[in-house]
Amino acid sequence: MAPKRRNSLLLYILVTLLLVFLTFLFSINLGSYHLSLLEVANTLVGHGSDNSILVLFEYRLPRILIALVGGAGIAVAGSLLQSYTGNHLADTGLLGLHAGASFGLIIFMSFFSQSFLYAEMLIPFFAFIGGILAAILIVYLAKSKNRTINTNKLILIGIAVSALFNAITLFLSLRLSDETYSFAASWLLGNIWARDWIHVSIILPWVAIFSLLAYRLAHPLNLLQVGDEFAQTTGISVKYIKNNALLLAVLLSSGSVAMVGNISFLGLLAPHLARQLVGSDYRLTLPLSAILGSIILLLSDTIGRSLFEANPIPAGIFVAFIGGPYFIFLLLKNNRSV
Amino acid sequence: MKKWFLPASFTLLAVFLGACGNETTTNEVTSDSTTEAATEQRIASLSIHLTNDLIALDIIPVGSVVGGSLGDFLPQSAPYLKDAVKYGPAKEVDMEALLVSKPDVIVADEEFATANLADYEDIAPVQLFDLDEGTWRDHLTLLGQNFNKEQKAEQFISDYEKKTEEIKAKLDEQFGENATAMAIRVTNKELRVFSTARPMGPILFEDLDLEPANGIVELGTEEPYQVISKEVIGDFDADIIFVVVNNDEEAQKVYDQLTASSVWQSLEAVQKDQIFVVSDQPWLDYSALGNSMAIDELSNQLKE
Repeated sequence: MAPKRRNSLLLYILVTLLLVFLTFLFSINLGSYHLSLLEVANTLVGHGSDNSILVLFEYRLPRILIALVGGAGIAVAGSLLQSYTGNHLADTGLLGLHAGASFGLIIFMSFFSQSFLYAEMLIPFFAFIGGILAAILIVYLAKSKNRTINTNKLILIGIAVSALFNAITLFLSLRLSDETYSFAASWLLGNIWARDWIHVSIILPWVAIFSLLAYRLAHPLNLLQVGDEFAQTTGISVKYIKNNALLLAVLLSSGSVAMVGNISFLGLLAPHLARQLVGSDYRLTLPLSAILGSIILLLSDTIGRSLFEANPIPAGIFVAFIGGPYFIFLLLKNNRSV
Repeated sequence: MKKWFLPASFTLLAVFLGACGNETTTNEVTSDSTTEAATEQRIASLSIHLTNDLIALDIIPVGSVVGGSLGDFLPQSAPYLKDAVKYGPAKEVDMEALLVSKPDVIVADEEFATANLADYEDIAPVQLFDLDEGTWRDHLTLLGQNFNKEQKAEQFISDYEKKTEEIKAKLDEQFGENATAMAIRVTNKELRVFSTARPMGPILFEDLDLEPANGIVELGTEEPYQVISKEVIGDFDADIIFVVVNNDEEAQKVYDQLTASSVWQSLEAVQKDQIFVVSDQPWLDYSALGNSMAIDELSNQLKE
C-alpha cells in the first residue's frame, strides 16, 4: 500500500471513529430523563447524582454498547458472507441466518432461560446452533452439481429457509405462551431487547474475539477476490478459508442478532458503504464495516427510542428503512452492469 | 491486527477526553421525593387496568403505562391523566420516564413486571398484583387497603351493584328474564365471539345476569374469544347481541359490511332490533372504571 493511500485510509478510520463518538454523545444525551450535557459529563467521570448514575450507567450505557457491538458484529458477518458467496448482495438477514438464530433463541427462551443463574450466558450458543443449522441447510441446497454456488439460487433458498425458520419460531412461540410470542414478534422487528450489563458482558467478548479472527482472514479474502484459481496458486486452501469465513459469519451474526433482534440489511449496507469509501481491501473494509455498522445501528436505535417516546420504534425498522431501498438500488445497478 | 486496537483505543480515549472536558460538580439536580406528604403517595402504575382501578378510588397516579396497541392512555382514563407521565407499553416500560415521575411506590401486574422486578425496585418499592386472580372488585379492595381508600372502594362497588341492578331490571323488562346474550367483535381481520372469560364474560353473564347463548359456555374460559365465521352467528341463537366495534373508520366499515349481509339480516336479534353496538373502550377494559363506564354507556343506550 502506497504511503499516500495509507494516510487517506487512516483519515477515513479516524473520521468514522469521530462519528462513532458523536453518535455516542448524541445517544447518551437522549432519553425521557432529562440530563444536561454537563450532568452527563460529570456522571461519566464519577460525579453524578444517584439518578443520573442510574440513568446513564444502568439504562443508557449498556444499551448503547450493545447496539455498537451488535452493529459491528452484523456488519462484519455481512462482509464475510459476501466474500463467501462472492456476491456483494449477500446479507445475513436475507439469507436466513437470523431466522435460524431466532429459532435457537426461542428454544432457549422457552426452556432454558430460568434454568440457572446467568443462564443468559448460553444465548449466543443457542443462537449459533440455530444459525449454523440454517447455514448448512442453505449451502447444501444452493450448491449445484459442479459444487459451485449459484447466487440467485442462494438468495431464493435463503428467503425460503428464512420463512421456514420464522414460521417454526412463531409457531413454537404461539404454542408456548403469550409472553414468548410477544417476545418473538418484537424480536422479528429488530428490537434491541438486551439492555443489561450481563448482555454486554456476553456480546462484547463474543464479537471482539470473532471479529479479530475474521480480521486474520483479511489477506486470504483479498486473494479470493481475484478468483479462486488465483488464490489456490498462492498456496492457500480456498475451501478452508471460505468455510472459516462462513463459520465466522454465522458466529458473529447469530451472537449479535440474538441480542439486538432481527436487523436485516445492516450486513449489506455497512460493508457496501465501507467499500465505497476505501475500496475492496478487506484489511480496511472489515474494520470500517464494523465501525459503520455500529454507527448505523446505534443511530437507528437512538432515533427509535427517543423520537417516539411512548411508542418506541424498533431499530430494525429504521435500518430496513434505509437498507431496503439501498438493496433495490444495488440490485438495479448490478443488473445494468451484467 | 494492530489496526483493530488503534480504533478501539481511540474510542476509549475520545470518550474519556470528552467527559473530562467539563469538570464541574452540580448538586442541584439530585432526586428527592421525601418532600411529598406521606398521605399523598406518588404512585406509578405499570398496568392500564390498575391505573383505572386507582382512578376509580380517586387516586391519580403520577404516571402510567399506555395501551399497547393504542400507544396512549385509554380514552376513559386519559382525561384524568393529563399530568401523568407516559411509561410506554407494559411490556417495555420506559425506565427513564418511570424515574422522571419520582414514584414513592410502584403498582404492577405480576404477569408483566416479574421479569424486570429488580430494576423497578431500584426506583421504588413495588406492589405486585395478580390480576388473573379474583375480580376487579378484589383488586379495587386490595388497592383501597394499601392506599387508605377502603371506604371509597366499598362505596364504588356498592354504587356499581346499584347501577347494574337497575340495568338488570330494565333488561328483564325489555327482553324477558331468560334472555340469552352473546358478544361479538368485528375487526378488519376477523369476527370474534367472546367466551364467558374476561373481559366481556363477567360483565354480561355475572353482573348483568344475562343467560349465555347456546355454545358460549362451551367455548371455555381459557381464551377471551374465539374466531368464527359470520355464517355461524345464527347457531348461537342469541336474543341479544352485543357488537364491539372499535372507534375507528376501519372497524366501522367492517361492521357496515356485516350489517349489510343477508346472514346478519336474517338473525332474529337483528330483526327484533336487539343489538347493542358498543366500543372497545371502556367495554374491553376489565377494571373498576372500565366496567362502571360500560354500564353507564349501556344505561344511556337503553334510555334511547
